Amino acid sequence: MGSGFGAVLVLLGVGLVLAGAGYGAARLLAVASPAGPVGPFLSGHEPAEHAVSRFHVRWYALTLIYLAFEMEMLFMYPWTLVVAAEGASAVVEMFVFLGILLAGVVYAWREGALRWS
Amino acid sequence: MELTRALLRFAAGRPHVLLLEFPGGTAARLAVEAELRRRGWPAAASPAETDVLVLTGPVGAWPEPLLDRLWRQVPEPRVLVRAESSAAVPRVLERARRRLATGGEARESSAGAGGHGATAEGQPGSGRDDGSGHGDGSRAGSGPAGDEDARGHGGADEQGGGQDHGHHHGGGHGHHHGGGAELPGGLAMADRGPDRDGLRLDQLHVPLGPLLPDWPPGLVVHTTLQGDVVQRARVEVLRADGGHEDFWSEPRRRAAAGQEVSRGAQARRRVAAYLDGLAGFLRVAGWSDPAFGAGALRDEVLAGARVDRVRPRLRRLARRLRRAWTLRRLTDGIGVLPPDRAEDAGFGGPVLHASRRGGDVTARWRAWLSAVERALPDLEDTGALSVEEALSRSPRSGAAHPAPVPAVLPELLEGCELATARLIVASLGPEHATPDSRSITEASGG
Amino acid sequence: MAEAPLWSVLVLPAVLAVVTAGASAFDAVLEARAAGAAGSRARAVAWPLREAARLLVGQRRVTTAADGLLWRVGVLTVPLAALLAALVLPLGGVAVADPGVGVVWFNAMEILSWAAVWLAGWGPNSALSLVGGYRFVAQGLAYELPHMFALITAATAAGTLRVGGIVEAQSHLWFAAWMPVAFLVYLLSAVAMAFRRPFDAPLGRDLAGGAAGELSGVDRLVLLGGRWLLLVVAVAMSVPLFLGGGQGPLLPSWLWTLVKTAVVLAAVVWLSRRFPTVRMERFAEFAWVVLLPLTVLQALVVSVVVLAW
Repeated sequence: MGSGFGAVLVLLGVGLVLAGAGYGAARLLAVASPAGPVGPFLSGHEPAEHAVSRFHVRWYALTLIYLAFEMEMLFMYPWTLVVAAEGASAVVEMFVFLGILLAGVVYAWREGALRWS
Repeated sequence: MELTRALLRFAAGRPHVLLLEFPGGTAARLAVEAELRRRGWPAAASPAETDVLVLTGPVGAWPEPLLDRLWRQVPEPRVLVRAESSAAVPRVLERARRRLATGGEARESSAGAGGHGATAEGQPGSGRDDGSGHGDGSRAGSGPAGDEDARGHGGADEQGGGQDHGHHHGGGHGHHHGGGAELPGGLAMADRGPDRDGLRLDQLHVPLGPLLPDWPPGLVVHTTLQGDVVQRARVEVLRADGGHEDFWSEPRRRAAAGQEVSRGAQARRRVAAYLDGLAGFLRVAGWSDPAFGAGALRDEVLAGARVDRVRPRLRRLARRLRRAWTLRRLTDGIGVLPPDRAEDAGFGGPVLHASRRGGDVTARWRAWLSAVERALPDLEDTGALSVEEALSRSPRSGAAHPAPVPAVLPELLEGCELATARLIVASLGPEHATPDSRSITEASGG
Repeated sequence: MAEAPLWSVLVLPAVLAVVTAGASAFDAVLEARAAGAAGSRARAVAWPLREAARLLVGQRRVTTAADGLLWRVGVLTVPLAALLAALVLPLGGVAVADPGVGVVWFNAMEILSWAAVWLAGWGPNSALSLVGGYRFVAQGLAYELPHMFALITAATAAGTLRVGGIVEAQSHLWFAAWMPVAFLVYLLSAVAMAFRRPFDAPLGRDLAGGAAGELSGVDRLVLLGGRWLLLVVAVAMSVPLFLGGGQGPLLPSWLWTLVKTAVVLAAVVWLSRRFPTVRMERFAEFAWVVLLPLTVLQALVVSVVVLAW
């Protein structure tokens, strides 16, 4: 099947068909048509406002360090393929880079960015 | 459809049960928990998950609008039962299972209709008197319950044909809100407010309780959340009509009234209270296996099991918890209650004890364990509990507040994350959560 | 490793369904034992089936002013992402596909669960669900990097990103034997990715079900079933990555794959009941300060070994 990505589409199709079959079966079998709209569960209270809102994300600093690492990961996948051929220099370069990123993690840790309780 | 009926019967073998306790319903709740364990039925966490809604204790008038709303959120097939006495529990649950196997209750019978034939145990909202005013100023302020009188009692929101209309259904564009904006569902968008770090952020008003599983009966904490941080907490205590007798202090109360009560009976009740607190805390902490263990031990102690039978299992449970460094790591340093505050509020027993040993949630669950271990030899003490002892042992003697938990909650919860807030409430235990007997005042803060 | 004929895309879901049913039945038996439920443990085996039946006949529900589209997309993405990740999962010597970037594909699909859980939490317009959805994003920030380093370590040792190639590279020694840190971190992150206990805070009981709290009927079945599927696929992937795939004496290789998967899965399911729910505000620190440097160190050791070989 060559690269195999033809199979991806077929598998996705199979997955969708299966999910559709599940929903179809539920439609036939369910004791009642969908309820609602009902209020969100708030221990029996009414909602005072829409829940969808600008959420206070307290791990904001963490997302930034994460992004730095995630970019590095982009390089690391191809790196795995060539490391044996490139030799020691590839290893040294990669882990020096990682070491710098880890120093950043240590800094963020000391600043308390990894803990938000 | 034949297949639907067969699947219903099959599925009813293990329904999910939403267990809600009302003040005075402790004994029945314990019986329901024991029966659920025995049958292997899971405890539901939300109405959406629920098949059987079990109410324990005298359901007064105040929860009716809340119960109506919650019941509308439960999908079919569903059954509502009341467990008033612990003896009736196995029968009640068995009947619920059978009703569920044949499709449960139809949607339109949820509220209002009253005499639903098969429901010997009664239903919420059968008498639709305006019961919303009972909760000690509960409806005051701009809380989430603020405008419920406008709809909860309209009577028109129940229609036949399996179509249930929630209060804010899509068709009614903002007809209740003065703003007049065409917001979907008739709800306002979240508004901003200052947060603890000096930012202005969206706020959500999320009440915790009273109809929340693993939550002290009758307690409501109106939280203002920013993200998942509790920015403000206002505490409210809802009461049953006519008051109730606290289950955990019952032997002491009887002894104080001059009846003959053995010290063992009193110790059993106390140990069971600690184990119950531990079980509830572990459920909130998401650790079901030792929670089952603590619950089972509690029920055995109450049922009069011999000490030498209880002791090895208690030792296993205690060892498991004390060695659990993950649990310690998750509860260290949260909900710190200093000793003077604990004393002021009227805490006694393990909570007070724990406040002298760090006072955090870890200290409190560890204090439960040691208190149980210390009290274990007393379980078979047949000596009579004297009136003086009964009075002096009362943790509330000389207390400034009738219920310590509501008094300290605002200060403990503000600035906490939601999960932490739940753990803190659970770690204060079942004993001190609701006001005893008839002396009730609202404790609020924040 | 061979690529199977196209009809294998029909076999794959069937095999996964059987393994998933087995894993959840095992969990049910453990639950029954912990609860001390009366009657035989054997009856607990049927619990997952009863649960499926319950949710099939159960009524679905819509919440007030819900974002229906995003909500359903989120719910549906969980099982679909798991299924698509399983594309490169070899059974014995064959997989549905064995592309040269198999590990990257697997990683890309499983990470869809971030979007899935967040959407499922956002959709119902319910405060507690919303908090649950965001909890999973924080969880992802904690587990994903150690997870990727574990994947990369295995790929580095084999010098290929092809799953079949990684299995072949273990013909002498399983990777689990000489890169235990990567193996253990992989399993840990697999559980976190599948938001199964003890990493179930996004669906926590303290949030009344969190991101799944407003789901009923078949929607709930799809999300929770998808969650089991995700766990099974992620754990099963540890077999080709670290446990030599289908390699082993006597038995046919497909059977070895199944046996190894079953053993690891049982261990994971059993172990995960032994911890309370882990909250990210406490775990993130551990993940970044302990797990991440450990996995980087593991990757360094492995790449030095690869050079010296």
